[in-house]
Amino acid sequence: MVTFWIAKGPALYAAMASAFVAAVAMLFVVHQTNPQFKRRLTVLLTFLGGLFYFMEFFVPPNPDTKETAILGWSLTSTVKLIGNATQVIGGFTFILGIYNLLNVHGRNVGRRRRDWQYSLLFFLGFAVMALFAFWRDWNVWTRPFGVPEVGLPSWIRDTNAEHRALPHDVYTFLFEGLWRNMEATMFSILAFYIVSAAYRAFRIRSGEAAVLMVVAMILMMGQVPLGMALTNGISVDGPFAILRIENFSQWVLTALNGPEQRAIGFGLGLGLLAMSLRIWLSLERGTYFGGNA
Amino acid sequence: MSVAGALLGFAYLRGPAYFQDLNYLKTYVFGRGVVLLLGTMILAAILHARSGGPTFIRRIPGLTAIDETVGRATEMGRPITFSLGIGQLDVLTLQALAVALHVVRLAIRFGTRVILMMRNPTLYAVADEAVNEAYTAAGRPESFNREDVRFLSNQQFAYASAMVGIISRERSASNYMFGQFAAEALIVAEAANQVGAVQVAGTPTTTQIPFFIAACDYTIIGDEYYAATAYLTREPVLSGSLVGQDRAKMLFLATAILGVIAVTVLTLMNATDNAHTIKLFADLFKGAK
Amino acid sequence: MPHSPSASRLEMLLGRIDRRLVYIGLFIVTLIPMVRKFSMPLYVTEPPKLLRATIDELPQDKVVMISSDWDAGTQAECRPQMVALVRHLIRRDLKFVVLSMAYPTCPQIADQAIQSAIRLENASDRYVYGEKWANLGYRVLDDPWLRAFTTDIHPAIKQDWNGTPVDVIPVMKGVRRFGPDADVSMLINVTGSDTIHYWYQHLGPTKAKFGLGCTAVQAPEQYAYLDSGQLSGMLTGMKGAAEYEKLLEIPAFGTTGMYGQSFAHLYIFVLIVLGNASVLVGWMNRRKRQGAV
Repeated sequence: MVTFWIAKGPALYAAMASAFVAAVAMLFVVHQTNPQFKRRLTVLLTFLGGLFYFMEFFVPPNPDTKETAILGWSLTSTVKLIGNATQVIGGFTFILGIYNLLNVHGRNVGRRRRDWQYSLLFFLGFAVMALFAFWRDWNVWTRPFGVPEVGLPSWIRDTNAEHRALPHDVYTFLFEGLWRNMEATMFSILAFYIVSAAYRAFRIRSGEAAVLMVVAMILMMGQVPLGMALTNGISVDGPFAILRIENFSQWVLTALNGPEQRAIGFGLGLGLLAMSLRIWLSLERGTYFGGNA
Repeated sequence: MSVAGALLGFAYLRGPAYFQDLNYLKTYVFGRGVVLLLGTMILAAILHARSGGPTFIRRIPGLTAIDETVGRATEMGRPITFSLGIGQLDVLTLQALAVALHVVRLAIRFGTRVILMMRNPTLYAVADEAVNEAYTAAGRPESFNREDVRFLSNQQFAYASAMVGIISRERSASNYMFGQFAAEALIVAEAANQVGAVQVAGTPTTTQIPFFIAACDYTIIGDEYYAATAYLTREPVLSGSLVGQDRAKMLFLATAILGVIAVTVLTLMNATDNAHTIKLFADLFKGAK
Repeated sequence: MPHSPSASRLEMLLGRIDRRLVYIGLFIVTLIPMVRKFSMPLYVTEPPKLLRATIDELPQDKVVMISSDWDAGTQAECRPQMVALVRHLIRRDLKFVVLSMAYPTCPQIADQAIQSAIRLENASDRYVYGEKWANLGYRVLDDPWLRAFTTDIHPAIKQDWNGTPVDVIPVMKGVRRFGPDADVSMLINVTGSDTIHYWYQHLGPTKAKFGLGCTAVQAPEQYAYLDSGQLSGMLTGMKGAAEYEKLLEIPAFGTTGMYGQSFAHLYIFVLIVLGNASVLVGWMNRRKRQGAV
């Protein structure tokens, strides 16, 4: 891991403040330049960033350390450092995302728009989760600032070793008891939706639709014991074993679906490569910014 | 390519000792060589297209339907919803954003509202700015409503349920789903179906394509997804990259066909030693990293 | 000839069943067979047999790593797979460690599944935590980290799920590298998430065996890797779990669940037939009307 400098104590706060001031100053300077310069700067930075990752991938690594290095500079370690930095930047964009949520739902409640009660529920959920999560980890948050640890009630932070797998505190109750089950519920809706989608979509309107439907039905029945019972009469070891529904559906999956998946995979890989090249070399100009309506 | 060859030759002769180990070359060099070759083919086609005329691109019904579906929303006076999937700010999702911006630009022309929904806050920052600029470029900055570019949640199913809610409440007329999708794909597509929305979906996530085919009106599959910007803009540079991709695919196909023919002929001739040589060649790429 | 109201009603009846009725029907046909057990044939396909044979040949002095990347949403498919696989490892007296990369909630439900497998095998005395197995907890799925982990496990992971330093966990002693001649002989990825491709990429060069238990939706993409030998066996969804239970002769939830799934598939089959019957009725009606005109 490349380490430039690890700041501690007052130096850390000074470094944070300086980084903030430098970032604001840099933004101010870039903001003053003309659009053409900004565009050129973006193209240049995109190219340099892409070149770095290009080199990191294409220069073969040392087989022992699996690290890529050029003239003693470990590109792999630098990738990790840049990865950490982008995670920090990503963290800041969360603030923007939360601002968007608060803004939209705040207006819904403030202007009593239709279904504003759901927006109120959002604020309630947001506040309760944030409160109990921060409270539970209070000592973790305050430790770097030298604040002495405070004792937390067990319903806020359960430290009982016997409850390690499932602490008996409010945050765990909300996370494990509510959120996880709500996620599982949303997922299980899928089972119902696939039935209604299949009922609606698998209707023979063309030759292709007929093939799709017949293969889907064979595969569906080939996956379950009830389907297997249909061809139970055919000997497992006999010459017609391939006609047993489970063997036939396995054949469809390996002999027909396998190559098709590979073909799609090749196409997708090449598409990804081409798209990456276009973005790296800024050939997609006008697609994202500066396009005409 | 010749530069890469020269570098490899130099590394072999003057580089570290492991460059002379065949296993090392198999694991770390040959695979990279193939990617470099394919990249060069695509780049060459792009550069060639810059100087040449228009390129033929076959009809992709899902992308052709975009104009029609935006028009439908306008006629019905209902908004358009566009989901950018669950991906991060990466190449896959940037392609989805490119399609979204095409829809937004069309919708601005028709005066139709587009609600853009995403799961990643970094993507939100970029999308918000790009949509804002699209409105400014169209001379209608005042029409841009910040509430229509929405970060919903970074949790997969919270994101899905928020999308279902928006689609149902706003009664979207046309729903687009581009980007990476997982289990939430069908949940959202069915919700849009229930409000009678026309749906266009495109994803490189092959596991979700069957669900989209079942629930949506148009589905863009495989590398059609990456052809979207080229198809929509007809920019020679972008079309050129499609030509490059096709040439690279031909190379794959030729290798596969030659391999099959060679092994079949050698097996029929009972020349198993020669077939072994072909297997050794194929194994050059086994375990490549 | 006037529009035939009876035929039209039939068409509507077959083709436009209210979706709420469709959902209730699914709920009932899935539930009943799971409560009232049926006896149906189940045949084991090749991929689970291959996985079993691979585990049967593993050396006992090495460790098996399980990458457990499923949570509440996919537990119906992945939990029975995990329990059956762990039971097999216990029967073979193999040491194993568990790692999760998909969701922060994974280590806990993996832990519950392992405890259940140990109980079912009556191996609480033999399978003491730390001695025979360990749970390394959750790590954010990140490419550079996984590359470091597959190069050298020890520096990449500092403590287990409970916060115990890895150095003092006996089962982790000297466990540093993946590979047939190294410390970790096999990796089994039980997953409902997009973790498989990361393992293909990073495990490939180590030549360690790679077994997979995935959801049925993910399976079609994986057959190509089974064909190329990159996978040493695979379990597909609940069916894979049921097949593995049959191989080990330990019928459990996978087997029971298959009865429910059987009738659910049959239900979809019937609905598709009804949908197509409505298309046929509509077509016949239109022909009749055209004939009359």
